[in-house]
Amino acid sequence: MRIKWIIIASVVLSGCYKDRTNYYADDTRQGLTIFSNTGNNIFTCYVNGWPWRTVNRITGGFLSGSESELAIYKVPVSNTDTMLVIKWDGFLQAHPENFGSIALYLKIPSGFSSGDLDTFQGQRFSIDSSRGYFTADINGYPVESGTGEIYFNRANYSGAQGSASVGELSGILEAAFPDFTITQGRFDDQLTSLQVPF
Amino acid sequence: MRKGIFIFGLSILAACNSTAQIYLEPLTGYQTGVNRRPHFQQISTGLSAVWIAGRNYELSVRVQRNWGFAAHSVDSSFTTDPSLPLFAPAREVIVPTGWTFSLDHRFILKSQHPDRHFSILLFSGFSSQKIAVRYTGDAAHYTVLNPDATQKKFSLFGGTGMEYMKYLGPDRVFVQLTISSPPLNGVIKYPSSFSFMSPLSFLFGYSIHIKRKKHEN
Repeated sequence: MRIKWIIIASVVLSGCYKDRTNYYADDTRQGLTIFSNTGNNIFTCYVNGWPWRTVNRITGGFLSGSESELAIYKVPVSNTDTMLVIKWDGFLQAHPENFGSIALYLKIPSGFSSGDLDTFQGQRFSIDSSRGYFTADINGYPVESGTGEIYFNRANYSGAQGSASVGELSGILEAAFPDFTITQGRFDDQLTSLQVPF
Repeated sequence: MRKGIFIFGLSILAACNSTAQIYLEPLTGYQTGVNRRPHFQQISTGLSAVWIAGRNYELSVRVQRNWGFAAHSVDSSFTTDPSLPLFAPAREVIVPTGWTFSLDHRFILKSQHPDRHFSILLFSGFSSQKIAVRYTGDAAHYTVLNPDATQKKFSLFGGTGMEYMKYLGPDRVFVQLTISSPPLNGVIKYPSSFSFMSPLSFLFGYSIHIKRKKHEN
């Protein structure tokens, strides 16, 4: 009888725990996922040729919290300038225990709203010092800033509606840092108010 | 799967009546997938060994190879290289091939004409399908969006159909219209633009009389 209640309690408390990441391997690029725009909630790339990927997106149950591979937020840098930060948390696949991140800092007007993400859709940006920069915290390498290119295949956000998907962000990127390079980056994320809290 | 192979083998042994007439049937034809677009197309060639197990029933073992026509389409590919155009078409070539090994049941319908008849076909066995995907384009600089990938499946399958057969002396000619299932559990766990084929086949063949046992009437 006691075991039955333990099982029932476990099921109830674990609740709606769900892994919302889909990993579809790219047969032509070992260690990478395909370039997709269907909301697979993953970003993969090579760091100096070593495959790197984001953590899985987890929507938590009653006891376990949610975890997201992506966060998008604004950082004011002066009275007139604001940076939009698009940050992916992940790890080198050879060292899954050492977490790090890859982020894009992009200059935006101070009045930039979440709905303005739509203006990125279909755009390819060269990220140099005038427009912004990339940062990367990769296990085994110093934390560095670099330049690169990014293409947003899809970028849209229609406002916060709880944890339901209300936007999407997908594309490809490449970046060069003093001690390493990021190549073949491809990202495909659903956006909710958890990822876009502004 | 092992149990399926065992039952299949047992069925063949049970059907091998030593007093039966035996025919060999080379066959060929055309088939197309009907379950989902794109409708892949194939040319089929095969060989059946047929035992006449009764006045209205024949049993055969068939091996069939399916040769696919290449299906062409265009996907999108993109690059971050600012010196290149953002978009380039990625030409996709899909070639569906496969083979089947089946036990076929031929239920002959009553006919007023002794030299021709219709039959109902039921068959089951093993099916192997490979849908090979290849992209042509500048893979060094461009990344294909939502690409397809080569898929393979080997499993049980089944099917049914109709047949018209005409006697030519001791031999026979026939045409068949059949439909088969895709391989069992053939759900592709990948965001493919295609699925495994459920082929609608139009086949014709020649039935060559091989032997008649002396003690058979």
